[in-house]
Amino acid sequence: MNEAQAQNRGLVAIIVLAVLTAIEYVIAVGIDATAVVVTLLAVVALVKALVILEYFMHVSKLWRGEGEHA
Amino acid sequence: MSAAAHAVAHSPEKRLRISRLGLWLFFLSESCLFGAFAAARFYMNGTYVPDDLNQILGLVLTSILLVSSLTAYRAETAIAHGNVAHGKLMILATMLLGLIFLGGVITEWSIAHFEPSEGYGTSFFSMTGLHASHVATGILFLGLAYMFAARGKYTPASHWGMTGVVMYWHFVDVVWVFFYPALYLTG
Repeated sequence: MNEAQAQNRGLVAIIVLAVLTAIEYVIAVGIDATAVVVTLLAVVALVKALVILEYFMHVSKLWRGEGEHA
Repeated sequence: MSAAAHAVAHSPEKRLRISRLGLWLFFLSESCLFGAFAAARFYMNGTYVPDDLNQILGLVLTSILLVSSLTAYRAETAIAHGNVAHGKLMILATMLLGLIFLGGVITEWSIAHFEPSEGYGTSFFSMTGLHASHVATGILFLGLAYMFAARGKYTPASHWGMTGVVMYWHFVDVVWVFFYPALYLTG
């Protein structure tokens, strides 16, 4: 993967994170049932964390060599 | 151990693996710390969130931190591809966003209508304070990474110092991903 492709991967991740953050906010202000809100917020937060772990922290490629950067 | 065996045992590849393992073990221990604070928040206050908590500021702070993860990623990616000039620029951008985030937290503290001695206030100030101290540490580490990058210490084949700092920054971002809804949105 060349530098431009790798940088584009980061842009995809930030767009996904922005959409998920907006969804989070809409859930909080749009739903009254606390149990539903907490459950949905937990799910969205987990997905956001997974996006950061995979796209930004390369967790699935943790044991690659240093010259094999994604 | 013979000199040859010692050299194999401490080859650059081996050192890199040990460094990575150490960093992820550190993240694990830090997760326990942050998790304890989050658990205490719900144990003490349930899902209560004050009505007058500044939601817009919370959303802005979250957005700033997420964008800073992108700039940190761009810095690491650029340096991994030998583009040190762009890498340095993105390190500075990440540090600036981190400083803005800290300014936002201080603003939040100064306008909060609750006291640290109140139930929610205890959780809010301790969680945001603990997190902000990690952001401040991350800014210092980024400053060191900038210095090393400026001195030409990082190459596409050897830039673990840069990667480690950026991973730490992303970890601090992951923590906020959970702290933001826990403090601002559950009510």
